[in-house]
Amino acid sequence: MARRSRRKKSSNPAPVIIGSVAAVLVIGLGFVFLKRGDSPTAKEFPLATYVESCNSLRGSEYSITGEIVENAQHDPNVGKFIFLRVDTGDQTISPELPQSVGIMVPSSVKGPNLETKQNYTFVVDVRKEGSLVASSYTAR
Amino acid sequence: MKSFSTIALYLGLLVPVTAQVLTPPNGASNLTKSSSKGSNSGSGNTTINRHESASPSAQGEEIPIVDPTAKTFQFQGRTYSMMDNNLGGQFEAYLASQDFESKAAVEYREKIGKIQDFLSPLNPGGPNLKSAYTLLEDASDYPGDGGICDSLANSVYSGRLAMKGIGNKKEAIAKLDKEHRRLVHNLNVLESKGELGGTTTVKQGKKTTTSKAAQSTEYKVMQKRLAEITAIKKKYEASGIISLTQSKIQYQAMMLQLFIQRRFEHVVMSARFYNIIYKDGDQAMRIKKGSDTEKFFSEGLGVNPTVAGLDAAANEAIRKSQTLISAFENNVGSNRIHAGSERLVEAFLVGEFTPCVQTVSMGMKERIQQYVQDANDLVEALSAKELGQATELNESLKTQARDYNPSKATSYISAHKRASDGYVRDAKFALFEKDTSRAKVAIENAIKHWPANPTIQTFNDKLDERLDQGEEDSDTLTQTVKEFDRLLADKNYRAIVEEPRKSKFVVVFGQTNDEPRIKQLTEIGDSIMEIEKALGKSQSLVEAGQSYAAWEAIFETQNKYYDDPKIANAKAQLIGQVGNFTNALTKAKRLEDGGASPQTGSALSWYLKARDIYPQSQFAKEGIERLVNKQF
Repeated sequence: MARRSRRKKSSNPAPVIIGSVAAVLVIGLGFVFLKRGDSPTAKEFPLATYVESCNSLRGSEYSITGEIVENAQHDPNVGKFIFLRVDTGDQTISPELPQSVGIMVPSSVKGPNLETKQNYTFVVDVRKEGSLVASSYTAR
Repeated sequence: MKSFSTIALYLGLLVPVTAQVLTPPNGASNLTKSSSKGSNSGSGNTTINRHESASPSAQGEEIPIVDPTAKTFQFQGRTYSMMDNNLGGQFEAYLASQDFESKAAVEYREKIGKIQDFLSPLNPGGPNLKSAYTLLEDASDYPGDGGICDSLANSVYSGRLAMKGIGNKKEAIAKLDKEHRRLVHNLNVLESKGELGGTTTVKQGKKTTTSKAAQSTEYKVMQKRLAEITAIKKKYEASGIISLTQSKIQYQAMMLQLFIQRRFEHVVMSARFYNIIYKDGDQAMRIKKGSDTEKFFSEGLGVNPTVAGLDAAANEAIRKSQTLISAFENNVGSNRIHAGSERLVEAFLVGEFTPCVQTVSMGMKERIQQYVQDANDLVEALSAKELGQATELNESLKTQARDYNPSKATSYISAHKRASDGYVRDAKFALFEKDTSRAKVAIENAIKHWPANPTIQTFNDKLDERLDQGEEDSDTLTQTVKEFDRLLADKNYRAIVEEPRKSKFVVVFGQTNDEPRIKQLTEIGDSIMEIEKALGKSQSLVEAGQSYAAWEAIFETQNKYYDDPKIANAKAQLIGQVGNFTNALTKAKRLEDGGASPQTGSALSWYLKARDIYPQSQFAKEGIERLVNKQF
């Protein structure tokens, strides 16, 4: 509604139109970039499947959100290995199943400090033997 | 001394002829040899030489001399055994016989006494040859006489016939003498009448006689008859002398035979008959020169034997027998059975057929018989080393006779018993030292000294028991080994270490030095101990409400000894309480170990799940560390 009203008030519509288009393009590109930074293509992590058969997920990328329960090990040259209690969200998980996974955060992956009892979202790849290796992460 | 010499003289005569045992002393062997040779060749009897065994006994002496049949005496440098086995048997038969008390025996002895009375010079009216001869024939009917009276009667009859024949010849000679005297008278008458005829020269050998030859036939016949009478007379005289001598020789031989047979009463009777038959006063004994009998008489007495001497010797033997019997009765009366038996043996030997010997009461003889029998049995028992029986007999003899000296037998028995017992002990030692050869030798020596030694039997019984026990042990051993192997195959380790079975295994395997099974038994014992320790710890944790810790406490042990039912049962009971935890751990482990494609990520999640359940879980911790380390 506001945009429509601004269009009616302009006398030279061409610059406005060009400007608008440009603005739309900028906004659109920005949105695209923004959406790419949030890995909008990563699928939701299938915890139930993972704990039963992680190898079946090998080669896939998932987004996992949860609370770090323990910084298990840290090697500056390799990275940091954390235990994450997965926030299953809308997924229905049997209470008998494990809730935590181990994620390797390589040193090359930059992001905020990883603190226990803090929630983060990790984009992870499922590697050999079902190991989860983070490609990016953001604090939540 | 004289009496002993006399009796010894008799015995010296008796010994070789009645087959007495002749045991010459050392150094007199030549003498004995010649004597035996002469005796054997002369009488055909056998002389037995008995020699004691030269083997020394334990106490340096052989079997003690309690055998009455071994008694000896010495005469003229010779040693004679008074009895041999045969005579010993006769003596025993004498002791056991009651024949001498029979009515016939009594009558017989009465007849013998009457005969002696009839023949005695003191018999009223002088010696009565006919009555004595009649009674002699009658006495020969008694079997115990053995025909001796009959033989004597025959000799008497023979002597009487000889003497009668001689009497006939004397009468013939007297008639011839009478005819001779008549012829001489007639010839003298013819010569005085000058009716002889011419002179005749007769040449006899170198001697030439010139006489007036009888020319008449009557004169010649008378001369011829005179020569015939002289020749016949000489012939009669010669034959009469020969018959008398021959008759005496035969009669004297019979007397000597009776003497040798110890028929002394018959000797006395024959001597009295002799004096009646041969009234010429000639009593010289005609014994072959150089014979043993002649030597015995001449060397023993230094004079030629006579009929009267033989009579005296027989009477002396009878008297000696009576003396010995009297001594015997006194000894038995004072319970000196040993001495009594010796006196009776001597009396029996000297005058077996004398009335005094034959009329010894049966009661007395039974005591002697028992004693002699026991003494003989003791000798036999000692010879056979039957020391138990010998001891009993020795004690019995002591009881029977107060003059019996048991010391030698006792010493002998004790020495052999001790030796035998010592060898049995040696055998035990040898077995203890497992030296079976030495044990065998020792037990053989023990048997030699005392075959019936009860300790040998005890030793053998114990040996048998040990052998039986050994077989039983062998069975037990086999069964025990089988039982152990079966339990081991069944993996029933707890049964193996249960008492008293475990102790049995320990003992048996130790005895047989079964190293492999001992090692197995030790390992099983250690394992059970480890299991029990884990179970104890687990139980404590359960009681403290720490079921997860309790489970972990027995998990490793149960895995190690998965076939132990007790810990398996304990673990199973805990699973109900810690099922989610064990399930998480189990899944984690299974995923971690997933063969060719382990699923580390899933495993880690399950370990974390387990840790969430039991934060102190050692298994979870170790699993997590293991997987985390794999990332680096």
